[in-house]
Amino acid sequence: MAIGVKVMKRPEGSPSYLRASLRGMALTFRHLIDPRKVTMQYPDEKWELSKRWRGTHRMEVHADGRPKCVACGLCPTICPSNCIRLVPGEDDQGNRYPIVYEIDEFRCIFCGMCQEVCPVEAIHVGQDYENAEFTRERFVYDLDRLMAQDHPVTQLWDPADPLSE
Amino acid sequence: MTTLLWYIFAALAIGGGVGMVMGRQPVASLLSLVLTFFSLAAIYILLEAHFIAAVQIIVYAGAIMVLFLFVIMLLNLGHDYRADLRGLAWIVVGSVSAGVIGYMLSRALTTEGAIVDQGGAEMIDAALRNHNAVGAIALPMFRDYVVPFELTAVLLLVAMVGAVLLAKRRV
Amino acid sequence: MHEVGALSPTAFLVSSAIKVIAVFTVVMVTVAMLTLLERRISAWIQDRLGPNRVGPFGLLQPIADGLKNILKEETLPAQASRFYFILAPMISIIPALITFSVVPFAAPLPTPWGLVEMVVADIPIGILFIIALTSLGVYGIVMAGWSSNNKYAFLGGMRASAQLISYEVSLGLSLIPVFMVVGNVTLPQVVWAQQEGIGLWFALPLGLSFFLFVISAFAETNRLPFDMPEAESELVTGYHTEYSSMKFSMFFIAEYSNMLTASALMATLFLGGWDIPFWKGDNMVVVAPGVVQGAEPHVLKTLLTLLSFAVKTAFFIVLYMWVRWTVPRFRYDQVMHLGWKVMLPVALAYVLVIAVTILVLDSIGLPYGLGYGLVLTAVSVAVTAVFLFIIDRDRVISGAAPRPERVRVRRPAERALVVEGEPRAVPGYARVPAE
Repeated sequence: MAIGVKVMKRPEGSPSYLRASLRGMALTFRHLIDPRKVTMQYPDEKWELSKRWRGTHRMEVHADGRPKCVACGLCPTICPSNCIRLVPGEDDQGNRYPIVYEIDEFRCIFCGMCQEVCPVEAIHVGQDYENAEFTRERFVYDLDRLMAQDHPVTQLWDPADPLSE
Repeated sequence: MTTLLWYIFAALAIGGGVGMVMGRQPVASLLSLVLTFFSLAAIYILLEAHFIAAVQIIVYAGAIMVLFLFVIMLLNLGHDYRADLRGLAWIVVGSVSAGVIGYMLSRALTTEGAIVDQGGAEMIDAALRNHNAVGAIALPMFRDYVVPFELTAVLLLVAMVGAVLLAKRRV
Repeated sequence: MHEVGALSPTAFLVSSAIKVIAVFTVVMVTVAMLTLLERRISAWIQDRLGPNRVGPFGLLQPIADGLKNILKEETLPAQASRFYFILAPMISIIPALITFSVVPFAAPLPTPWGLVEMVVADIPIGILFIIALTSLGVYGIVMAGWSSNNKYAFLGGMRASAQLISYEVSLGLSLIPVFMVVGNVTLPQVVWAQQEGIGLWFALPLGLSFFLFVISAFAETNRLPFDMPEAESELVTGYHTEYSSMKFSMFFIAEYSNMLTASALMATLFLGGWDIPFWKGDNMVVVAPGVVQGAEPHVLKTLLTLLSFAVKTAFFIVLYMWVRWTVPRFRYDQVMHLGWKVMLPVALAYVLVIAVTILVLDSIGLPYGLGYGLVLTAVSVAVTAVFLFIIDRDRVISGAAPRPERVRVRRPAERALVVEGEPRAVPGYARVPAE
């Protein structure tokens, strides 16, 4: 929606203070009794987030509960704020998996590049913003915490409209 | 009860007066003076003179003192006037005033000139019943004493015109 | 005449104590609710919802606010004069709460013990008492500003003293026509005059007085558009900048109870007080202890008139808030201009007009009654029309916009750079061309 700017005509000649005040009071009275209000009563009502809205992360898991991450190291490489710490490991079948996977949500700038670069669609930015904590340490999300997140993930582009036109 | 209240307000009035003279800051002095005026108004009420009490507060405490306060705050008076109060002339003036006040007090408190009960309360009550609180003051003022009243008005007008003239000349 | 019976001294004491406690409680609770109402109305005007979380419709919000204010830390600014700093809120709140005591709020109540007048104290000076005490309220503000040792607070205090003096004069003068028509200063008599004496609410026969009184009352209670003493955008919050917690809250309570009293006063003086319009059944006045002139007092009538009074007072309170959230603040010079050069002469002239009208009506022998009121109404409408016609043009109050832009006088430094009358472009001094 385009924002309309109302250009008020400046008064010329000798305007009247009284009539202008009365007109102003009529205007405020109309707004006073107008039942349409703009307040979003937050905990009860919430804004509908855009599908591309980027919030705190979420790690996708396999059906058996393992993280989908293959510890390829792309996300810590591309992360512009350097907030992902990854220590890769390898099991006896040669499958790579993350031993440590931590995201410092305080450092994160929610650019979504980690999700874009992930070859196995494991790490995602998510549609969540209600993440207040009492300590700073709690904002470093470890692997278990990332896997436990259940909020919807962000669609970085709309499949129907990939160029966002 | 009334006597007790009278003593309380009399003490407050004198205390306010002393505070006004002894105060170090002009604003504090002024506020003490307001206390005096307020206590005087309370004493007037104890004497059944409600209208005088109201006027005392409206005019003195409410208007004149606020104006003084405004001027004092605007001018930001310092403490450089102290030396004036120490001169010989001030001692003479002070002693003469103290003597006059002492003489009047002694007259009032001794029996020959004492303020005895002359039925004042009954007169006031009757006046309040026949007219109302304002009428009791207004009738004598506009009927019996209309000439002094108008003369005072002219005097005040002349003073006001003079003040405006003096202030205008500076501009 | 109805003889109900006077109260015995004991019953008088008991009833007075009950009235004092009841009125004090009602005023305090109303003031608390007014803070909520103010926030709700401001929100509605701005298309918001306002506080609605604490309790149903947010009705418990004032309690939450009060609790918060009690629990907050008290601060005392460095080098403030401690005595006056602590005294100021008290000086400010006491007159504000006391003034309601002379306002009659309902018709007299007949009880088994005698007739109880529905006014806390019907003192003979009536409204003069209110004017006297509200004029003392300014000391609280000035003291707060002066003792805070803060330049913004100080400026707020100074503005308060200047503004209150200016508007108290027109407030008092706008009341004089009322006194002249009623012939008394006690508020029950004012109500009686509007019920039977004239038979018209004074908003009609004394319209200009009403107008001037409303404006002066806005200024006296420091509400927008006259809130120079606190002027948030210029003086932080003016005189109570340095106050916190309950001491701040006391200034707040004082402001709102002043507003409540002013609204009640406007309703009593100009809208008939507790009178119910077009009904003779409530027209009564206490002429002596226990003796009522006019209709017979009844408990139901007392309740109905109380409701009527509440509705009228509420109307003015809403008007206060409505104006506050509509009209921008005056500039300081505009406030002074309006007070001294418009309100004061107009109020004086109106006193003269009404006095002459009363004199003429008395000398031609028109009986004091409805006809009397109608003639006064005609005179007032004519005078008000002339006044509004004159004030309506910008000769009197003008905004900043319509004034012709001033040609900036060149400064000496700039003049030195001018060679032979040719103005040179000086950085930072864009020259405004003469019209």
